[in-house]
Amino acid sequence: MDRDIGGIRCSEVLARLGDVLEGDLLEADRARITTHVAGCVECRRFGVRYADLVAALRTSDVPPAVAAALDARLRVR
Amino acid sequence: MHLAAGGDARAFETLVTRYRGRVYHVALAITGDESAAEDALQETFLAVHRNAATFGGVAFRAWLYTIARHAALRSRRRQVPVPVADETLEALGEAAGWGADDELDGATLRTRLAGAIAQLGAEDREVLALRDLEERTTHETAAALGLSLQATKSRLHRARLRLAAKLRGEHHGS
Repeated sequence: MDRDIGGIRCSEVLARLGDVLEGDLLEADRARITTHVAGCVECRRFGVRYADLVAALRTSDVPPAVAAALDARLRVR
Repeated sequence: MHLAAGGDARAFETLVTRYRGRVYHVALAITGDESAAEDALQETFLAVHRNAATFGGVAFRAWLYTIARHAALRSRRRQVPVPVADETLEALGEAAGWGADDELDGATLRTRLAGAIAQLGAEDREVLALRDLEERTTHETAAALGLSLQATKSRLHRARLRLAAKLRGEHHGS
């Protein structure tokens, strides 16, 4: 899997995923990556997976057992 | 936070509910151990409650994460260093599911996140803690790590890919 679509290869899109997520791209790069992703189902799918992972890191709660133990500990403080 | 500092129990509960996930995962990233992270989580909110009245009212999250980091360092147990393999980005991507058609639903991802973070090496956990969990800027993360911006971005990207690979590995039972 390393096709050239929109003037950029899959491997280059993979390398720039962090910049895509941060919006840290020059306009020309952003346009090429947008074109590539529109025509490449694999890069589109992996881009979503990558963004979901970062979103999960920023929003995940504690496991239920950890929450229950925390509540119990704070109640007896 | 001001209400919690004033002894408002409901405000304190709201604060705990809002931040416990991030504090737990930051502690996990520092300790690499789910049990130690749970201890640090409890110690952090006990300390927040004890010291709420002395909180200056500026940059609450920075204050909270400083307490969490100290608690995590105290509860950290001796660890065997995980060697970081010098893999190509393509190899890391493939392990993380780049080019594969399998999917990981959001609920499964969240359930397995803690276990996957704990399996990472210390360098990967630290950059994820700073940038993705504490949400420091890339510049702040680079300064904390003593790295250039480009090196910080590269380390972060590789850490995220390794984390995705751990989650995917668990999903496939490997």
